[in-house]
Amino acid sequence: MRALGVIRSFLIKEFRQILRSREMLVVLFALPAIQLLLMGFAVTNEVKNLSLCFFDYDRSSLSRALAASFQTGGRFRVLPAPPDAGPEELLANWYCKVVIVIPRGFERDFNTGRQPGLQVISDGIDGNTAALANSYIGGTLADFVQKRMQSRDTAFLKARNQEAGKINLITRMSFNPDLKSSAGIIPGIMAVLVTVTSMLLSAISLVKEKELGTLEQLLVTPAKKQQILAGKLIPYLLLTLAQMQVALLLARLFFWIQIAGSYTELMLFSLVYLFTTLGLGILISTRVASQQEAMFFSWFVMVVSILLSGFFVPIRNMPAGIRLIAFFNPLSHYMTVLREIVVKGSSLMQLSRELIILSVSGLVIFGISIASFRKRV
Amino acid sequence: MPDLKRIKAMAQKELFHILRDPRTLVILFLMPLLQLIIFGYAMNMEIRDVPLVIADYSGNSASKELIRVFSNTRYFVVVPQAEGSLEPETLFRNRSAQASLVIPPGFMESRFDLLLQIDAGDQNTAQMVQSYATAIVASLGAKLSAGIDLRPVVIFNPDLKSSFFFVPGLIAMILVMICALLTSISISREKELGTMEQILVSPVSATEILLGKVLPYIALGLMDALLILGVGMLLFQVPFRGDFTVFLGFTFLYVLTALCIGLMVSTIAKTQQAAMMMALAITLLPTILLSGFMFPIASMPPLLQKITYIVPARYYLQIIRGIMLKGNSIAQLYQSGLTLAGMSLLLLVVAARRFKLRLG
Repeated sequence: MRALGVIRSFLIKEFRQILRSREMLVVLFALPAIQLLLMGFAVTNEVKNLSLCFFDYDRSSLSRALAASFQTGGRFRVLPAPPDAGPEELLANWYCKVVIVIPRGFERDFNTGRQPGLQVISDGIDGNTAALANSYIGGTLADFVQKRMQSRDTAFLKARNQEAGKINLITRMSFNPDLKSSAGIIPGIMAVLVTVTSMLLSAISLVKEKELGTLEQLLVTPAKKQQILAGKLIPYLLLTLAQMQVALLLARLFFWIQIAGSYTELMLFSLVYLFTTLGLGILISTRVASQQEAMFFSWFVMVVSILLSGFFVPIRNMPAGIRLIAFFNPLSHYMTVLREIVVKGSSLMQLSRELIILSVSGLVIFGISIASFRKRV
Repeated sequence: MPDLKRIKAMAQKELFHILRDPRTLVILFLMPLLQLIIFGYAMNMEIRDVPLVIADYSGNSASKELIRVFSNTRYFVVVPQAEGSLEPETLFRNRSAQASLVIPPGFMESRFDLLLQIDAGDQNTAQMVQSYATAIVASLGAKLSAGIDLRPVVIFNPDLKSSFFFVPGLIAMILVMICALLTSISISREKELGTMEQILVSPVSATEILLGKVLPYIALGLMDALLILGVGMLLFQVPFRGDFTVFLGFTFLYVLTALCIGLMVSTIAKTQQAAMMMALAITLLPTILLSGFMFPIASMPPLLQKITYIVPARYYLQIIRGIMLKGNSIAQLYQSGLTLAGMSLLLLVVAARRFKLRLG
């Protein structure tokens, strides 16, 4: 009973300290909100408004129809080709990112079944955009050819034995029918925010007491080390969860994203995950001397774990060695959980693998950090 | 008239500060290198091995041919549908498949429609899956004749290596980080600890203090940038096609801009922590998010696109990507170059007016 009383007074002290400085509240709630909004809008690996130029040497109705088929959908922005520059020059001058050259005799060859060649020249500097653009161009063209084939009279198709041209591919997008990129990005940002807040702030708050010498004062009180730690960690645990509610609300208001799955399960997973991040926070605090160092160090950990979390690029696209590293990155599993629950509404059963991994990592990292705190402080 | 000897002494003092904290230094050099390696090897947008479940209700030669074509590409792995007739969405939630294809009975005899269902939780992968599937199905149709022969050519980076894209970006990032972030922290630290007062009562003039303070950071930033460039060129064969002097000239302008921003932050922020937060918010975040460092500006909403015009890294990135990868000359870059030059001039004037080495 007395132990609880000690923890309670620690909690009161910590909350007073946090709430006293307005800066801290800004760091806790305003900055994450700005981050969520800014990143929610800016972070997109979608390819939209890609500048595209046609060099139409055919000038037929087919070539014009082809150019027109790229104008819908907002994926490409078709620019007029200036008269005095070649395709490669346009790319070198940053005028556009892709040039499509329609050769002379394009329509004639297409109609007589001689498979006209179509040259697509793209700027490869941004490799991902170029790869996506090429795949979109391929898809748009395939669609265009298919529509042309289907509108053809059956005699034409029969004559060329072209039944295959009639295949109609119907696509349905599950969970995210409008293909909003924010559906994947927003839960990802939430995972990042939870990690940053809990890890960075707990580390800094402990280092600050160390730097100012007040940790020593706490240690000479009758309070036990684990009580001091509990008093330090519980406020940040609660604040992180509170921050998450704000983030969920903003996601709903600004991005129309609602949790498809169970809210309780989401909070359960977050609680389990927080043991890992708070543990990392303690671990960092025992190894650095100043707040600045703590900041740089946590930042370093953050950058690497965000890059290898599947936030920007699916982990499956990465080479095998890096996939293995990503497996040992707790953030990658928490990110999966958030996306699965928020976007797809997956159940606890379907996420049992992640639950096990996150529990193990929480136990191990938290255990190590407490041992290290006892030894070093 | 600034005295060179005093500037040297100030710079030396600052250098000792930097060297006394080796861990920060290690992180400053290690972080961009590690990022370069991760970006170079792991940031690969091109999808592969997407698990695809095929429900074949036809079982004829046409459907078998279709399945063969799908499993022969590196984009898809056809996974067996072990659990009988599970709904596609359940399979998606179990993450045992990411796409499902249904072939109707009598495919290519009486029925010509295929149903493709894709897990769009990851919107980007979903769209790529859709375009690949469309292209595969169309190639089946076009095989007999009369499609269009698409001949894609990629120039400047034919192998679509992400390192080509990220080496210039990381250079822009590290320069801002060291020149703006560290400079502002170092000045506000002297203020916070009260040592600035001690320097001010010495015979050293304000200009000398300033020059002595920023020179080590300029050197550090350029060293770090050249290290990234060197590693990028050696490890990832990133080319340098343009003129190195032009590159250095523009880099100088950019460094100047970053320094001015750092100085302005230090005039506003009173503590290290505040300086760090502000410098992060007005330099590093825009440099990463709003410059085209990673996310294409053209894909952003219109309002954000307008904001990117005031981010210096936007211009610097176009310039160094142009010089390194496209071999651009000044004539091709004069617009961005002039904007960057104008920006640094403006910031220099503002910073010089605001920055007064006074206390309180």
